Formats: sequence, structure tokens, C-alpha cells
Amino acid sequence: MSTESPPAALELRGICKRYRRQDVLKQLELLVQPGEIVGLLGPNGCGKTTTLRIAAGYLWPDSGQVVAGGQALRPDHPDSRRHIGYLPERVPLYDPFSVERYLRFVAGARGLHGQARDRAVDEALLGFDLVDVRRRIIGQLSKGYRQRIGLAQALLGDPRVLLLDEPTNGLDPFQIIEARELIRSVARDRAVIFSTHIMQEVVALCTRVVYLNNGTLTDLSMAGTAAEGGLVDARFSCTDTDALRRALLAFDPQLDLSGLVCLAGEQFQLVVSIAVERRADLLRLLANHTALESVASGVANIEQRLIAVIRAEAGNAA
Amino acid sequence: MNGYLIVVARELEHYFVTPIAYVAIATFWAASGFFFSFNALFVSAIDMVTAFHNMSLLLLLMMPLLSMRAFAEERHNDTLELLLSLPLSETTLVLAKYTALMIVVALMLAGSSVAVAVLAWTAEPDYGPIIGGYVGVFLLAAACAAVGVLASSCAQNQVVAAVASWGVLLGFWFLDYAANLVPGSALVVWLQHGSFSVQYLDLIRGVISRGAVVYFISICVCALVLAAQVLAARRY
Repeated sequence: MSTESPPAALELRGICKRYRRQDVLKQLELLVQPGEIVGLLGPNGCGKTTTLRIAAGYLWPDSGQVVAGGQALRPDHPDSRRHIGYLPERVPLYDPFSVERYLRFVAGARGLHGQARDRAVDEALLGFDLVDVRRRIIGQLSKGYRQRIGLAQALLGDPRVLLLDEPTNGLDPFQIIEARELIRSVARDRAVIFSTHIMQEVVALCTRVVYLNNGTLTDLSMAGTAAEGGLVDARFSCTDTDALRRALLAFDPQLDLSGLVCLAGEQFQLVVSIAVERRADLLRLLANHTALESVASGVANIEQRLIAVIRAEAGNAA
Repeated sequence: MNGYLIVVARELEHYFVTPIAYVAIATFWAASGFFFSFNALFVSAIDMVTAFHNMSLLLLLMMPLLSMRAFAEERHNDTLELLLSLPLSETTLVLAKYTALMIVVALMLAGSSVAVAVLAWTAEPDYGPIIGGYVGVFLLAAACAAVGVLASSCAQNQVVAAVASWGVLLGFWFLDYAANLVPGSALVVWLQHGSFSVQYLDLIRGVISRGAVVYFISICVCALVLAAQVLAARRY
């Protein structure tokens, strides 16, 4: 019996991009399987949109490769973009066109013709509840409808990869819930990557979260490894961190000490993932080497993991 | 090929679901009709050479306005990101937009054939030079359109695209004037042969000179290739 994993729907291999002498993306690696919803988090201006644009084949990286649906994107092969559906941050719509005409154009440009195009457009209109407005002029529709049309166009041609750049930006709470449902429903058999800086969005939708900062990606799901154990979040005072580090590594050489960060002066925080049965030993070790102030444990949520990563980065930078 | 036709159809539809094509065609018909009638009634000169000359000047003014939207509008409306992430090459996009623009130009010129009907009604014209003249005006418009599409691919803003293409077209139009600045120089021949106003003269007289045809087609090809290259370069 074959033990090979299924081919990834999208693969970013060593993507590098420079803008104005600044490295925006540094050797970016990402692998997304069909059925995964990956949230791309990061501060404003960190390169989320650039990453999605490169993955969509709208921009080319300085080096590296994007592989979508098993096919590498190449400048001289526009057809290689066929496996990708892309919704940019600002929904690209032709305001003077009717909804149906717009969708027919995108379907045709994605290589659908005749009955296949009619069927795809009808399905998109039905699936995104656009039947009632199919003949309406896009420019006259509300933001919620426009977002739906944007999502519908991204799915025409049944792409294996769906890239969404802040898809719920500017929507009201009801429209956000609606958009989440739509994304969840289309993600069943394809890979979805969406960028956002809204934490609730990530918690509500994602099966995996990656954090982009300083041009590199950190897999937050891996940072937590919640399935295997849990996260210990301890705050303490410590005068000799070198001794503490040595003790922690003696306790477990595999322990990821990037979660040990200085909060202020002698105040420290340690966020580490550890197997449940070893948690008590770790806490005992901390009590011996530090003045423990608080301990929180359990399965970390995305927010905690993100904060741990950001603090670790800040600590490393300092 | 199918992607090309899809974009041509979308572009044409865009011209006609908005007032752009109607205003451009109506303005061209009205202005060229006015000049033809004015010459017939007040100058007593019913000839197509003058009509073609007036049409050429009108096209020189109008083509930057018609072509400025090609890519600058897409960029402004954020739809260029959609177009360039679809499985369509830059060349396909440029050629499709250019074709749609030339179809609108053909409709503009078709309306001016009323002048030919008047001519046929009042005299017995030689149709050879008239057809040649139309070919000449169409080639001039094609070159102007190609330069406009190139300017539009470079510009972020439609007005900038229009002004830039006017600048380039006027430069080409008056290039032969620059020959006066370097009398006796080898450049004189180049400057004169590079000028729109020199090259199109034979064409509007109905003389389809191979040199003029090659000249205008070369400008079209160069401008369109450059436009595709500009779009491709913007991906980096």
C-alpha cells in the first residue's frame, strides 16, 4: 500500500522578493493541501498581499517557484494560472456590466466555453445567491453583493487553489458571517489561503495559521503543537536566565526556548509546548530557578501562540 | 485565441455599455461631416483629400482620448490585477484591447463614407484613391492607437496617458520640422521620413506607398510589443 502523501494543491518554494532594496519575502516556503484553510496573518505592510499576488501569478518572485495543482507557474505559460482562483483585496469588478455578463467574461477567460461556461456561471449565481441580481448592474450593488461576486469569479473554472486577500474587509457583521460560510463551503475540496489581520476570522475559519513578518513565515499551528500536549505560559522573575536556559535544555534538549522572552527588567515569560505528563516537572523546575508569578496551561489558542511568536521575535531582535 | 476573442468582446461591450463609443463616433461623424460640408458650401471644394486631411487631424486629437483607458483605467479600477492573474498573456491582452479600439475606429471612419456618397451623387469620383485614402487614414489611426495603448500601459492615470500620447504623437507629426535645425545633416532624411505628416501625405492622396505602409505598421508593432513588455515588466 502506498504511503505517499497526496500532492499539495499549492507550494511556495523559496520565494524571495525585494522592493526598493528591502527584502519583503525571504525564502518563503509553504505547502497547502486540498481541504486546508490557511490563514495568513501578519502586521500591515509585512508582505501578505505580495505573497498572495505571487501565489496568484500576478507578480513574479525574484527567485523561487510557485507550484499550483502540480504545475509550476511560468511567465511564458499563462495557462499555468488556470488552477488558481484569486480575489484581490479590492474586488476587481467592472461596474458598468451586469453580474451575469461579468461572470461570463471571467469564465470565458478561464477557458470555459459553450455549455461548460453557461453551467459554471449558473452554478456560481446559485451558489452565491446572486440569481436575483444576475441582470443588475454591478455598480449599483451593495458591498456585500460585490464581495460575493468577487468570490464567485474566483471560483469559476473550479480552481484547486483559492487565494483571498482580506475577503471580509469592510463587510458588516452579518455579511462577515455569510462570507465565512461561503469560504468554508468552498474549501472542502480545494486549498484556501486567505490573508487577514482579524484574529476572530482566523479562529472561525482556519485549519492552519501562518504568520508572516520580516519576510519569513512561522507556522503557528506547529508552534503550538496543541494536539500532542499543551502550552505552558509562565510568568516569573529571574536573575540568572543563563542558568535557567541551561536547566531547561538539560530538562528537555528539544525545548523551543524562542518562547522565553523578557517582559521588563527581571520579569520574564516562557511560552513552551510540552507533553501533558511532563508539565508538572517543568513547573517544578521553574519554581526552583525562578520566582513564579503566574502559570497558565492548556491548549493554546491562536492568539496566545501569535503573541508568543511576536514576543519571541521582539526578544530575538533585542 | 479564445481568450483573445473573449477580451475583444468584453472591451467592445465596455465601449458600448458606456457612452464612450457613442460620443466618440458621433463627435467624429459630426466634425468630419461639418468640415466636408463647410468646404463644399463655402470653399467650393468637394474633394476627399481635404476630407481625409481633416479626418487625420481629428483622429490625432481623439485617439489619445479613446486609448487612454486601455490599461490605465483597469489599473485605476483594480481590475488589472484580475486580468493579469487570469490565464491570459500580456500580448493577448494588448492585442485584444487594440483590436476592440480599432473596431471603434473603423466604425468612426465608416460614418464618414456619407461624404463619398455625396461625392458619387454630385460627380463621378475615382474610387481607387478614395479607398487608398481610407487605408491611409486607418493606418494613421492605427499608429496613433498603438502609441495610446503604450502610453496607457505605462501610466497610472488616464489623463497622464492621454497627455503623454498627445506629446508623442505631436512629436511624430512635427518631426520633419526638426530637420530645419540640422540642415545638410544625414539626420534630415531620417527626420523627414520619420514624420507622420510627411508619411501620411501620399496615403491620403490615395497613393499607397510601400514605405508609408511599412512605416505605420512598424510603429504599431513596436508600440504594441513595448506595451506588452511594460505589462510584463510590472509583474516584477
